Amino acid sequence: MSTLLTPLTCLIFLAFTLLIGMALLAPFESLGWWAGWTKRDLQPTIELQESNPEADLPAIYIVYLTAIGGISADISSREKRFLTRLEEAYPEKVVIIDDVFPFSATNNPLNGERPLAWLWQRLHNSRLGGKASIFATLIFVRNLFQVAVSGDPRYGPIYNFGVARELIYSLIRHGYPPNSGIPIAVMGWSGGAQIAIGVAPYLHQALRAPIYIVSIGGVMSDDPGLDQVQHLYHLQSTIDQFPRISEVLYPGRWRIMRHSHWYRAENAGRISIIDPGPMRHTGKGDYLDRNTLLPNGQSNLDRTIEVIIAALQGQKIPQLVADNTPPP
Amino acid sequence: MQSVQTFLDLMQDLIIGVLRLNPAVFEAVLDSSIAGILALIILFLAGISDTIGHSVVFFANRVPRRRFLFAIVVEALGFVTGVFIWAASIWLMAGFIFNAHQNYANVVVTVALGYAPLLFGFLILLPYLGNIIFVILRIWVLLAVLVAVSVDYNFGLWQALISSLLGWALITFLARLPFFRVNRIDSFLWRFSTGIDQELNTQEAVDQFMREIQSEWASESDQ
Repeated sequence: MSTLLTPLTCLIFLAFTLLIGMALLAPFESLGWWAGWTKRDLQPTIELQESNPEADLPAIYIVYLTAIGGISADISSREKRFLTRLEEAYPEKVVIIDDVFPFSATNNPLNGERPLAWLWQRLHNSRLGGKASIFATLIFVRNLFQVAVSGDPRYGPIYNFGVARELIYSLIRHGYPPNSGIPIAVMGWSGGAQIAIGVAPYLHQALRAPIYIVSIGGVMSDDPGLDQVQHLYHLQSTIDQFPRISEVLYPGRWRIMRHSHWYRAENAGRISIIDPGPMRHTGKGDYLDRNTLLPNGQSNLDRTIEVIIAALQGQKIPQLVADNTPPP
Repeated sequence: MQSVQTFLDLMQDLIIGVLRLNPAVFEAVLDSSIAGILALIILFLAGISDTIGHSVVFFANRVPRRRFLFAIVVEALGFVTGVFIWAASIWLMAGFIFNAHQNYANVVVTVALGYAPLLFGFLILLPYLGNIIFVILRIWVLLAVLVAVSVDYNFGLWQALISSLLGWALITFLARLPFFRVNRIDSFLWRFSTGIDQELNTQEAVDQFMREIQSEWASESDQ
């Protein structure tokens, strides 16, 4: 027993040390950038242009922030399909942006300019090749710590400002006219939703735009960013337990904290929690799955799109009615 | 070489003893001159570790890299001074309220040792968990200092608690008196250590930067 225990204890100790080390280092990417310790610049390098009132402007800009599995802004094919279908189905002109990696304050992908870029790329490749190993979960862990950085009041303002700055660059590149009042919807899946509420105040202040948040199974803290969000639409399936983690972890989400940012927004009617139907957090049967069908025959993907469009259009969310339900 | 090993072993024993809130360790430190020096080393290291735990303030205020270590050491020395002052207030209160007398140096040494839990102060850096660790470490230090004071004066728990808390209240009260100009001393220490005029927290620093960008954009669009 003791011969077994020693290597096992060593392994557990090593894993624990690795986790603590990763967590301790997590804030330093954004802190180093902010302090000017890295080569990445802090000053904005864009010029804001006034909007042309005669141009055919979109009704809304939707910014998509991927979930914690991503290593760069190069999102998965199923996420791309989701965004394409959303754009096609949206009844008005819409611009969808997906070129910002939300788990880096400087939009620096894990396989970008980093000393360990080769390691992240290898882990990602092994995951894509179907060789799911415990090491590949390091990507989730690394990004999860960045979500924690975003939700921590000590680091959050710097981290969220960094991501917001990248989003502002991207919005301007995609033709967003500042001060035009065109709404911006920041849509985050899982941990991306926390970043979405974190960046909201900076987008609002810099572009003077109304900010909407769409959370797809989002794990969100009681972020002060909620104060400047026009409305938060939170898609949370009854069988998806992940968003409930944040209801436990963050005291501001506890029911007794009636004066927290979250509950102030909820009491003001600025948070809508929508159950899109039975969907899992990730993998088969998740919100973006086009092959899993709901009781009414609609795919999860189509249902998610339908709900998001109805929410952003300010319409009543269509009820999920099974096919075999007799007509009224 | 052996003396270094003995020194490190002794230090380890002291730290473990304090973490376990073992009164025997505090008694031992009063009987040994080298242990007293060790207690002060532990206090300084705890100050360094705790300052690293709170180092976000240096980043938020963009302290240059070459100044960072210096700022950490100066802040840690400020921390050590704070502990000396708290020990003095405990010493005063114990004498004033309970008519109990002890050598001030002994009180300093045991109270300093009570700060050993802050050797883990760097863990305050951890996102999310750091805020909880901060509270746990402060409670741990308070408990260790209570043990230290009870050993120093042969006090019961309540006497140690009253002396420590009233000592802390006395410092807080005196710090608010304009005569002592504590804010000015704090500001001076900050400027001296970091070379930066005003200390801002993270949110203030980002808000200030946002205002600067916005006014820059506003003046560009006016042109």
